[in-house]
Amino acid sequence: MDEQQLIALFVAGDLTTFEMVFRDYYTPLVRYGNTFLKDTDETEDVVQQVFVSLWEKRTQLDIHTSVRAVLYRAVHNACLNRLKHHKVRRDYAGDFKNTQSDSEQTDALEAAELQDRINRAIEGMPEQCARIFKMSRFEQLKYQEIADQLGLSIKTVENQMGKALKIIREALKDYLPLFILFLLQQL
Amino acid sequence: MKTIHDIDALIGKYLLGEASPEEAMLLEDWKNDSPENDRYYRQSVAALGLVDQVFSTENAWQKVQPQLTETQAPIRTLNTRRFYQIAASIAVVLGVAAFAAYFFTQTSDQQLFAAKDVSSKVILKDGTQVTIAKNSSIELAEGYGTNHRHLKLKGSGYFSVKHSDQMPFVIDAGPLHIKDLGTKFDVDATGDTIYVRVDEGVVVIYDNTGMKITLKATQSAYYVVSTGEMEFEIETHAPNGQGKTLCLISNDLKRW
Repeated sequence: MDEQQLIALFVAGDLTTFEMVFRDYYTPLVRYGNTFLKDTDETEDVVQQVFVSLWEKRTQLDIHTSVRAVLYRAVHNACLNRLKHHKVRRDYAGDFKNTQSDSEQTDALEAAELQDRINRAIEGMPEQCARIFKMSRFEQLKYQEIADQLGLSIKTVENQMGKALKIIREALKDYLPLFILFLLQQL
Repeated sequence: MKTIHDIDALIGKYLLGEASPEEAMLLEDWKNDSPENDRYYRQSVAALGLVDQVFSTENAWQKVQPQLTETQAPIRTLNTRRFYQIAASIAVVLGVAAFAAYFFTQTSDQQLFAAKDVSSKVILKDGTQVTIAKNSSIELAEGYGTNHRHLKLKGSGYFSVKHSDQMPFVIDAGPLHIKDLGTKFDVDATGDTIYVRVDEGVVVIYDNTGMKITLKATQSAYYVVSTGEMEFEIETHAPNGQGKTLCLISNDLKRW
């Protein structure tokens, strides 16, 4: 089925098509939404609401791109709106453990060891890189806020964060496969 | 597709809630490209001290599905170009129809009326006149004319119906039901498109999902049955100069 057909069936209210779209995109959309809300239950609610309201408004939709793009945009906007309503959600600022809800806690020992390794990796980072990384992860600052405070472009912040991520991943190379295996068993 | 210059920067952006919808889709596509990419992503998640949560799409669908209520199918106005195409086709078919031989089948207990190479005209026992286009048929439901007037149409037909409040006249054409409220009208259910045009009176069209639309004289509607589903289009056509009844719509309609 090409995108035009998909859009036509979607807009016409074809339930089978709608279900197919739902099943294809629900997981990636929740994953995406969760990068903003950092609360899986809440994100699931938001994504479900997005689908329901899209169904209700389907006849007024003017889809130029793709159904998928419309869904991603809708989830993005809905999550940012949620964040606004939450005012500043900085409750989870602090250490790594607190960035995860209870359900996200991995085995305490495993988590502690992982965190230890991450901290050591941060110490080995170039100064600016480490600074930006800490501002993002520990102070929970947005890229824009970091860029403003340090007088850098947002692009520089993006690149430095990418670099930091690379350094940590390298540092955890021997450890990560094991750790991920462990996570998968948990799920 | 956009090339990714710095996958680490993109993953970082994404995981830290900085990614635009476009970037999120780009990353999702990249991740699905290969198992290595997916593993790389998972390692990045862990490197940031995050955990990818699992949740059930099935449970979510069970929650969402009951909230999806059926509403009226969208109605769209046909564009003018399309209307002229239709008008042209009607004119062409009219020419053909003028040469066609008409068979008059007298009323009987016959249930099935079919036209093969030429169209044929049928007068049903309730006085309803039906012109059945070639390669088309109508089948009267059991008890037609006694306590109901239901019939099934395959292909195209032109109906001139004697209205009766007690016995509504209903045509089943695929997923569509067409109910006369005192009418002359045209139905073509040959292909993927079901076409209904009303010359006189009023017709109600509905399906089993709750979609319902009323058509008045000089109006026509399309019902596109694509892979079992539909889309509605409606057009008010100008009162046609050809005057009244005998308009057959050709099978060509479905090829537009």
